[in-house]
Amino acid sequence: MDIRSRKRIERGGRVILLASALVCVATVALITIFIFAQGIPTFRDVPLTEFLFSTNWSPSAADPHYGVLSFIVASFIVTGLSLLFATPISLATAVYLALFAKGRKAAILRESIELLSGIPSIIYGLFGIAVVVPFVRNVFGGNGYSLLSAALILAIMILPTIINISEVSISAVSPSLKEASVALGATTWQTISRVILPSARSGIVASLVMALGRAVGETTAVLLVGGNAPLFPKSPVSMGRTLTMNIVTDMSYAEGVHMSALFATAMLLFFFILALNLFVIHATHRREK
Amino acid sequence: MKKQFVALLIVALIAGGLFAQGSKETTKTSYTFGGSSTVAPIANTAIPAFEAENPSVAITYETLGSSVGIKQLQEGTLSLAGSSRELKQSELDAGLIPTTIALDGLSVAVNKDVGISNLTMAQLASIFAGDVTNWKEVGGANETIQLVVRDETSGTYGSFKEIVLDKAKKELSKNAIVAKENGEVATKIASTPGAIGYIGMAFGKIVTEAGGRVLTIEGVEPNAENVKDGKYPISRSLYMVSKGQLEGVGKQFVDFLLGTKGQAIVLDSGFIPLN
Amino acid sequence: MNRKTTNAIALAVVRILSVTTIILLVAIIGYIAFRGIWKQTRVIRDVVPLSQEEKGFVISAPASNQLSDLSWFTLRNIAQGKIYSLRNLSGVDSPVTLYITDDVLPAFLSHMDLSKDKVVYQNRIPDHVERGGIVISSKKGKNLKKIPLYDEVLAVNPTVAALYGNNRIAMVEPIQWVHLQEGSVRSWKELGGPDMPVRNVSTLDEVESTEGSYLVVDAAQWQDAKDAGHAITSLQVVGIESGVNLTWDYMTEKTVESGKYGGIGTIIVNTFFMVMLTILFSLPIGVAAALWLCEYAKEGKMKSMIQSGIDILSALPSIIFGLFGLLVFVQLFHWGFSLISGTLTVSLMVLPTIIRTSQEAIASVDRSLSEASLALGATKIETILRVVLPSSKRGIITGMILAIGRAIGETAALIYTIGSGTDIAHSLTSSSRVLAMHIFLTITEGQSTDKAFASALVLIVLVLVINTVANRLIHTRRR
Repeated sequence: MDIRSRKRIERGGRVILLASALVCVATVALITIFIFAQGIPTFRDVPLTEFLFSTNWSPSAADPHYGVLSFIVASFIVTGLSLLFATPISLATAVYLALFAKGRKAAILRESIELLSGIPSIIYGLFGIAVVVPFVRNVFGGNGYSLLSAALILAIMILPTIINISEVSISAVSPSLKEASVALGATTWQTISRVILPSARSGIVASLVMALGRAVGETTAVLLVGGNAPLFPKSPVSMGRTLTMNIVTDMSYAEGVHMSALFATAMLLFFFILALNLFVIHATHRREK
Repeated sequence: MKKQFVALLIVALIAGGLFAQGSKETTKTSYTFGGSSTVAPIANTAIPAFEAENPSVAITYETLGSSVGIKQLQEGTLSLAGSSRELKQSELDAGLIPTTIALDGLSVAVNKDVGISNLTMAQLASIFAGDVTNWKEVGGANETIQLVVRDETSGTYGSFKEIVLDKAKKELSKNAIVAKENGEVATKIASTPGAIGYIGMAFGKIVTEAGGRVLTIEGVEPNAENVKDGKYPISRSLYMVSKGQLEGVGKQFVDFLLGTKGQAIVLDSGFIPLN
Repeated sequence: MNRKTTNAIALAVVRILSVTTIILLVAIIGYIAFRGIWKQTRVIRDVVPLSQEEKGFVISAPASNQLSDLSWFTLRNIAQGKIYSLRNLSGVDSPVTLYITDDVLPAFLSHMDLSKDKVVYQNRIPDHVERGGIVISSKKGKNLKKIPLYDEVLAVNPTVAALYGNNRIAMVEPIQWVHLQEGSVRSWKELGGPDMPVRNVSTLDEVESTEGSYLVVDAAQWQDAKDAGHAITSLQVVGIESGVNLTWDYMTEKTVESGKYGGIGTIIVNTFFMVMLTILFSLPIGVAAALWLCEYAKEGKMKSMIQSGIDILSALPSIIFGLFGLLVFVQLFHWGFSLISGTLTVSLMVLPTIIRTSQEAIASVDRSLSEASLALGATKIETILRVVLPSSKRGIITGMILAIGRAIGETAALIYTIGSGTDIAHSLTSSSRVLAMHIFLTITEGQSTDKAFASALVLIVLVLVINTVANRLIHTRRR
């Protein structure tokens, strides 16, 4: 092959690789454009304040209303509760893996976490209907289809995310810090709680925020156990509809303003996820500095 | 490296073979019908039977719900739409034409622990409006009533609201489990203590098999005879909707549904044939 | 509290909590496996679960039809040609054929209360009875299983089954049936009926004339009396049956009527198509993107923009991808709900996974290798193709397997993109249901919880195998 054609191939290859690398950016841009183009027209008919601060969601009434406050609150309750359940378990596991685990035990534990993270959400949903819903019904009352059931399922789903990321940052704490603490006469627990966890704080926070993002965006599993009533949630055992559930439930039948209100719901979700990610990027940058 | 290449080649060949086997049928013309989930059982049984008689077509029926089906029909994504609700005036004005293909009764079903077998229309309206909240109040067990309803824009929701609640001048309570399909309503009734919900007549079997029961309304059982006679109060028509006059495969299919075999399928799917 | 005690307690708690993950994993997989393998179903019958000893014939059928028994009414309908498929009887979609040998025909006709001209049957029994075949003969056929015929009815006076207030007896539960046989039920109220004493009488005439009476009676007799216009009715009795849920047949048969009958064979093939196509689209783009990032990109705005693009894409919930797919592939491109729309949506979703793992693999390639290649006069592209890619092969394959694992379990992105057709996709634009979607739809369409669990077991095994392979690859690479 002569040099010129080799150069041409070289240049062509480079362009192809760059184009591929730009696919992700383009996708993000297109997703944003398409969803916003569909969602923004909502506000021609529905004032932004009504959309955000009204709890009245009745798209098929004679005088339709499109308020999503109930769904925002439900999303917050579900994700908040799931973090509450998942954090102690996952931090304990992360500490155990980073500081104590060795040999076969550690291998089994790691393998379990990997497998847990691979289980599809539809399986969690099915397990939720068959086990978690009756459990919540029998223990906490109500009909079982509740925000609490959704939160329990989500808590299991986000365990691996928190464990993996926070383990990395706990392992990264400099051994000299640990040794200094032990040399000063602190017990292992004191070392963990006063030295190691605080120094790994930014990583742990990042892991929680990532988990939050995963929980808030989860659809299938919560859809099957959440009850889906478009009500303002009064307690964890009451039924509720999260933002994602609202999109999926009505999408198949919606038209007109109703349809664009659903895309506006997706916009809200999009903003939320974006904000969380900016936070993570910001937090990790600070740590790197 | 070589081994892996061979393995990859084998996989590709298998995939190609499977595709080729499938693509033998590419001489077929594909059509997408869709819409009401209530019409789905009829369509899903009728389509293979219709295809057997017309081997050159391949049809799928997408369960989308009446409203989206009608909307996508207007947009041209679907060539024929099933609907379980009446068409709105605006849709009729846009040139859509509904053809009645079957009648359907809406069954009201309850969970097994409710201890009730019958309700009056007035009681039914009060229950779904949230005025009556315990089964005790209508003669059943001491158990909180759990409503299971369809999503707001489904045809089934519309029919039930119109026939039961609008007539009693009541509003549907929002404190209800919302399910996306008839079958999901049925399974949720079956698995939730104290639950009551409405479903297309064909879906009653799911509830009874799980131990729940289908209620009689004013003492009348939801069956074909009673719906045809008009004795059973909660009934409606099912439609196939076309954009403009029926023609081509759409017309053939509707004619098939209205024919002897099609109406037998209607009956077999748990609905009520027209004749 | 003493420092040491606190320490011991805290560490014990950490240990205990850290085992939770294993417990949860075992619980979830164990439960799905149990329900996937074993099923228990309620069967509602017009007859009671009793079979008369001597009727002069035996019913047998192939084991594959999954019938556990037949009711007198069902067999009568089959004999009259009114039932064309086993689907409503055992969930197996197979046409019914009735075979009766000449020697038992009279006994059969009299027991079923039918005349010969009403019965649709064949009298030559083939050597190999097909799945929907039901054989009536003097003794059990070869290689066939015997099927009991339940032929007695729980006949009651109409007052028992009538409406009282808002109540009536719907059906007799298994435990209630046991109590009724034992004679320990005093009043019909215990079964949810009227407050009326339970009376066991001995003839159908007495049933007709006595309030609150019942009789377990020959079905043919009951049908005769009913046809003659006697005022009697009967109660349905519930039976509980258990058996194997996930069978080989279920995994290989085609799906009938949206999953109500048949198996998941066609769905598995569609899933395979979806996964292959997803990899076909996302692997080249993903690897190319990773190569650019590792080999060409200089620190700067471009690289950090692309990196954050990948980060955001990986953080977006799958439902957002689903909406995008709906707007672009389904509606804008007019591909409808189809294999291609669903596949492209999922391809975009798994792209970050592939890019990241490939990036890691490429970055770990020994620099001196590629420098040597460049020094020998190879161009950058040649170096990439001949040196970098082969040495990072393992990592790239791992990324691919992880992406497969993610694609195979996806639902939210597919609900509004891939469609729900249950036939094998015959073109890129045909609506094609995949396994995870099939489970979602069997739940939401309420087809069958047992079937949902059987399909879920298949899915979970696939995902676990895929992820275990990926994990092994990652670990051997790191060592």
